Amino acid sequence: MRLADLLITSSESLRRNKSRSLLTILGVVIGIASVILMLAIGQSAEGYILNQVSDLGSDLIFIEPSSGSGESGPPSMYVEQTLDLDDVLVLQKTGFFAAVSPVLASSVSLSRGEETKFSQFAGVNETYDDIFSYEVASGRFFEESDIDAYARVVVLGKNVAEDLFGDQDPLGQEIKIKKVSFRVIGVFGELGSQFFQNLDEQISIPVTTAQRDILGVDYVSYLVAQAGNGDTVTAKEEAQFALRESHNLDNPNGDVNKDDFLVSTQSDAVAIIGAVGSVLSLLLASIAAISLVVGGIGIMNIMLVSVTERTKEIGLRKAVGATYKEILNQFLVEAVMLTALGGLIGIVFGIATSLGSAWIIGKFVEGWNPNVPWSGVVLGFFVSTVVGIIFGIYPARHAAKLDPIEALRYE
Amino acid sequence: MALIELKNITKQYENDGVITPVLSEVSLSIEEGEFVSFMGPSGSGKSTLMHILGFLDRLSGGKYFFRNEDVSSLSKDELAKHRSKDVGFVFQSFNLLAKSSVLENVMLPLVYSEVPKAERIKKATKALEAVDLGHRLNHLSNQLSGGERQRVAIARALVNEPKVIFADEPTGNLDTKSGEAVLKIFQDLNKQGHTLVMVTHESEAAEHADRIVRIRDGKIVSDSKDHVKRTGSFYK
Repeated sequence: MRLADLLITSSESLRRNKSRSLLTILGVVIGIASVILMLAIGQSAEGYILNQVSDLGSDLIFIEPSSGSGESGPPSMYVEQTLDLDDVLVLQKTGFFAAVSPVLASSVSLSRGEETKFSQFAGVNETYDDIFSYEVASGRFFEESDIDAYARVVVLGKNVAEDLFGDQDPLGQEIKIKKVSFRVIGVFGELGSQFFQNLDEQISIPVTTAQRDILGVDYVSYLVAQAGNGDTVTAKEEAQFALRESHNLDNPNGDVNKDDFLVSTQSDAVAIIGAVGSVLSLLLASIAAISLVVGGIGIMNIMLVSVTERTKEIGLRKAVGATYKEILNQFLVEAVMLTALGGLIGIVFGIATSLGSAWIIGKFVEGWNPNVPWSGVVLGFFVSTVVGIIFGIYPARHAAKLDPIEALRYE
Repeated sequence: MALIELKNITKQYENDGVITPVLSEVSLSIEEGEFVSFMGPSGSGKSTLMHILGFLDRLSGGKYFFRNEDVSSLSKDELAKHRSKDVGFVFQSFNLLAKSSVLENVMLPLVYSEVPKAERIKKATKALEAVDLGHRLNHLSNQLSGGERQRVAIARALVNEPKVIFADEPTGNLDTKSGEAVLKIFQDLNKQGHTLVMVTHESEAAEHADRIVRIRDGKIVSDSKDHVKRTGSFYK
């Protein structure tokens, strides 16, 4: 049998059962489309987070308390707070950093007259706005003297200022933070979101005031430092060396698991996010792959029904000279045509839903970019074809093995 | 040279260790150009004999020579090759592909003998003209009457220019008039030189053949050819 005849024979059989063919491939369509959609969302999420990290500035290093696992993670109440303002001085003394700021982060209630508001605050020093390139739209940021003097001054995020003061100028006005009065000395410009946190909803106060007057603690949440010459690798080593010495740690081999702090750079964060992103993509894709297997079983089921229905036709084809292989190929090609068509439709759907979902998410999350995972598209088509071969082989063998006499007699 | 030569063939089916004999010690020779009927009641083994002759089934013992070639123990694929180039079949229930056109149905055997498309159409058209259906090429087969369907099946059996055409109860599903027409076509084909073997249990149909082989309980009980030999005159 010629290849062209094989393709024509198989496609005509499918065309004669159009609605059934389309219903049969639905499973594969959904499977492929979801693989592509999942990969697209995974890639967009990874791209989004990586963008956020690179927006932080590539010359920054972060120092956080650590229980010695050597891994970065969310703040935990079980991690001992090991960093304080002395560590800021230690880092400054190394001479490797253009700026070092402590950050003491917490949430508090703010009030002005009747107006109250719950807000995140950061207790920082005078270098904080420069380190993150935060623009102060009106007024000024802290001076060194504000920090030293435990000044009760505050710089408001744009939204906080609007919520508390409306159209009025907040500069020079008083607000209460946990019943302590602070004077507004500046308002940030629009800062946008970072890591799903809206910076415009936050306020900054001097770290000293935050420790003594608001939280009553002597530690800080983490430190952020700007490498002087942009070399974060050396800066990271210097910071580790200096802090081990000042914390009296016996750690000559530089084993991060023995430290009570963790230094991470932007490239560390990028590596972690990349790893998390790959695992996430793999997980999403494997869930979608299960639906492909289910789709494949659906194809096998319908092909078996089709073989049974067409027993007489198979008998006739054999009677007029079709060999085992020719019947096998006919049904195998039918199955592969079904899944490949399902794959193509699934790819179109997958790309459409990827772009559609990215458009919708982009309405809510600024900086979320659409992504078409072309590797997933190619893989999807390849996989759908393989699914056809795997799940088509059993029904096709079933057909090819039929005895012509029995098949012709079949009613 | 006999077209078909059977020497003491037997056929038995084995099912769960139970052996059912179907044909025993059948010897038969069919010459090119003959029109032979196998006649007998159902269960006599006449269909099995035809299946063996038509390469649809294999024999259990004895020898089968087709044009002097020993075809007693061929593989399934070799049997398929012989079905493709040496024989044509006409069945009681027509066995046409319902949603395909008349022309496509007749071209089907040529697909498996790898005849180029243009030639396929030419040959199929010619075969359909031979059964007076040249005007129905593009009809769907399920739009035809029973008699017409069987004529399409005959064209299909003819299209690959087989050495012999086998017909299994070809008039069984037809009314008398259509049945007569089909038998008339067989006689015409025979006159043109085609070899035909027809299986039937109706003696009226069988008598359209030149030679009647009666089969009962897996054995040949009479063969009109022997009668010819004995009397020296043609049996009719």
